[in-house]
Amino acid sequence: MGDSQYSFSLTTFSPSGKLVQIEHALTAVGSGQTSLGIKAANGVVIATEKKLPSILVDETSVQKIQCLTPNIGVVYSGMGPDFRVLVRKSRKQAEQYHRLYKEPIPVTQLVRETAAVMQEFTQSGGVRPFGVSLLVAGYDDNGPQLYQVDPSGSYFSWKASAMGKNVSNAKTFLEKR
Amino acid sequence: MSIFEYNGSALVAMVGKNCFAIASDRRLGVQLQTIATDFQRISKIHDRVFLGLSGLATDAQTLYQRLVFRHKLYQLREERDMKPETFANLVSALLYEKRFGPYFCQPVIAGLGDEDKPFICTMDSIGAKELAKDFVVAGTASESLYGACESMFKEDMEPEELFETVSQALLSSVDRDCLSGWGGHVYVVTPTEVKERILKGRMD
Repeated sequence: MGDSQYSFSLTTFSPSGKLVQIEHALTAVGSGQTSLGIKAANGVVIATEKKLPSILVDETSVQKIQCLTPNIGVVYSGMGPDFRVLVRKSRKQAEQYHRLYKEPIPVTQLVRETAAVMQEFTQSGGVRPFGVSLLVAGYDDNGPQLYQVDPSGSYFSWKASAMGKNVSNAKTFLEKR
Repeated sequence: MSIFEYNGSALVAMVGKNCFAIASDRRLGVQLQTIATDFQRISKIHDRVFLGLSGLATDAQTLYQRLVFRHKLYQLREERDMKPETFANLVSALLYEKRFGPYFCQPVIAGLGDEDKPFICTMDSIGAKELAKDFVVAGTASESLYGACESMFKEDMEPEELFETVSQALLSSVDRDCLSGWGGHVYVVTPTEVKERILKGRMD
């Protein structure tokens, strides 16, 4: 990643042991439009706010929730263009899995590979971390699953979760309900 | 002499009632000279999937090692065993990767899939899969094996009868092939157990 002039990573440790770039990425996520997901007994629901900058924008051209495979979907909070890149990479990984095993990729495996891509961008030369957190919702042999993937590349499985603006209110609401 | 006939081999897999059998000969030769009479051609990938590799012995060993490697990683990542259909697709993909410098092997894959349904398949050296409902054969004795299996096969055989059928088909076919023989190695696999038996045939 990066040519010889940028063979060093831009994401470096601070003296307190934090990766400041990732903290900033999380801030970018936190100021993005709210999205949330809830795991039900027989499926997963994901939703996001679709607030467009002007009424002149053609809303059909904006797709905030995308399919990664016929049984895995994803929504984000943060930077739209970064999301598009991740969706493209994840779809390719899912198809590669299918080509090798002729089986649909399990949700956990796809999440793990997507998270690995996001982690790569925190340790490679000349690139910055992704400014998105993803909520991956899928249904496979292990039932319905909901995962959150952060810019650092860490992922968590949730029964219900929210990201973006007003996340604390949303999470409180979800905890109560 | 063809590269596939350098070491000599005979492999057969047959489907029974909720079970399958996979059998091979035991000769390892270097053209006309026999150098081993206890060569293992069939390997267990996991309790419900078996792989037999005919053809050039060095390629069979290397391919087997690569496949075990891939399967072990799969088990660690996905925390489950590979289904036989999935494994067959993996073998096919690996073989096709070497399309212009192939492994000189013909694999035979046999396993128990979902709901204990037996699955068998074979493929050529560049990964063209051939699924069958009754039996598949491979190796230098394959032509004789086709004839023997076709005449001896019956649907829905129980494990004991399946063992008899596979053994008779294998031994009679390798007797017509100078490059394979020196006994047989038969695995009969049911959902509950794996029975491994060595056959004594004509030792020539």
